[in-house]
Amino acid sequence: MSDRYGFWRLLREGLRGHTGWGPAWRDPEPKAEYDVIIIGGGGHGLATAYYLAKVHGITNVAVLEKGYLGGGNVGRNTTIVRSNYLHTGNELFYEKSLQLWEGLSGDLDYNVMFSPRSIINCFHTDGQRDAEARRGNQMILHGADAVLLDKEGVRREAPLIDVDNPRFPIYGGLMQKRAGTARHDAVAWGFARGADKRGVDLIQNCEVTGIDVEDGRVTGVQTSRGPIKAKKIGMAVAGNTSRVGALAGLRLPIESHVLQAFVSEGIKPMLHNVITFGAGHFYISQSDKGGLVFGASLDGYNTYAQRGNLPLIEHVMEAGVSFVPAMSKVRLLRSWGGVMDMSPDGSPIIDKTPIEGLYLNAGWCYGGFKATPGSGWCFSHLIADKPTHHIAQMRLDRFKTGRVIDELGAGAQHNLH
Amino acid sequence: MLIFCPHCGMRPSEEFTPKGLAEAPRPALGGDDRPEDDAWQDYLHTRTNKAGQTNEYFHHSLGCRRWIVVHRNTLTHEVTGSTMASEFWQNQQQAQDWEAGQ
Repeated sequence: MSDRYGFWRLLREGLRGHTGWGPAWRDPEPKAEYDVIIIGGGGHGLATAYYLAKVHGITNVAVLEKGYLGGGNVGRNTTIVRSNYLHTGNELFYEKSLQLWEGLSGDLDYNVMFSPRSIINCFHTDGQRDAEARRGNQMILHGADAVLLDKEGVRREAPLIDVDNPRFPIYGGLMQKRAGTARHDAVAWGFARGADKRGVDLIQNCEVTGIDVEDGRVTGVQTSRGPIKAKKIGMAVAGNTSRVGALAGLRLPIESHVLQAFVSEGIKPMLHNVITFGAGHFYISQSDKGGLVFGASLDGYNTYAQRGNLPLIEHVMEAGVSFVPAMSKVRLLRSWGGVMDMSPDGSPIIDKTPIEGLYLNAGWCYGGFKATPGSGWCFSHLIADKPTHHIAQMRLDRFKTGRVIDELGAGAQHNLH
Repeated sequence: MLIFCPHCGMRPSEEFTPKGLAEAPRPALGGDDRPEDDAWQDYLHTRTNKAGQTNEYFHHSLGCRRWIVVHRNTLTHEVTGSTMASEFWQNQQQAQDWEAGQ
């Protein structure tokens, strides 16, 4: 029983006035050398360390975080989890990730509150319906699940949606029932606790200020808490990939953009799915606290500022009220922006770099949260020299070779995805 | 956010379409001097993507429809100037001065 979380532990602590809970992880001093260093203590970095320790038995690992654990994009997203992709290069990976989500709370012994409440992508034209039907078939071929709803199906699932919108009438939607939402902070904390328990050092307030490269291979890092040696270094710093990559002399196919998100005041249950409005690139769900959580597209310009501008907010509100007219009665509580690691084709990169021993996990655009367990799983396999087929196409050189994974078919421009 | 267009003056950012960072000149075309793949890769895909002063392409799509390069700070959103895209790469010195943060 000891330090596992569960009913008996809760009962025991309840009877003792909750005096027996200790910190969920240690706060160690950095050692002089590790087998593997992971730069970035967000969801992906912590998941990578967790799977390195659990699956590969590599426990002499440090996760270096410049701020506090889970303080980046894993704490700033709209918590959607899904695997509804068209291309093999993406769908294989995201389906693996969704399968990990399904068992994650038990695996981590930490309730990540994964709630498979389904996602519905609405379509408004015959052409969009054909595209969604094709995507649904592709998903089923890759072992995922998909259902094509007609207009009445959408109305039945979400009665508050205006399916008869005169400008963008809703013809139906592609539904993935196993998709849903999760508690974003719990994911970071659960992975952190699991990694720490297996011996991984989680080192916070430790900014990497240099990456040491000798004869084309990494030898360690310089940090605000002194130099640390390691023969293998994994970068999981989406949002700041270009800046950390530059420390090793890399120039990467990444631009940083801002994606804004919004939460309304808490209201009674009105939406039980995650639903997207195909015409406005608008998506919405309702949190367990009752707030409507929603967002839309990028602002479009390059930025590291973690905040956007008013024109995009106006656009999001217009799309939201067109889609769910009842939203016009709801007051907005807060909005925020996260820095997105935009790749030219909108798909991520998990690959080795030209520098031996330096591994790259980047380009998550705005799909990083759902990828958290899958990314950690695949990145840990890559670092342990056992790469899996899930990331076979997520190569760093794919823009040069032309083998892009362009889910949107929009071409190689960062801000279009 | 307001953006300065050399042709129209100060205009609201909604009139503009951003088209990414202006970090490498377009490689020359044609003849036997076809550019190397690396030059295209640099021009199309890879970016230094600095946090701070950058040069970025904007199309004044709801205005004069000219292409301009806007000098912006990606940490503060401050716009400090702009130039016609057609003149931007011709004047490498100016570009270098801007890179140096002037």
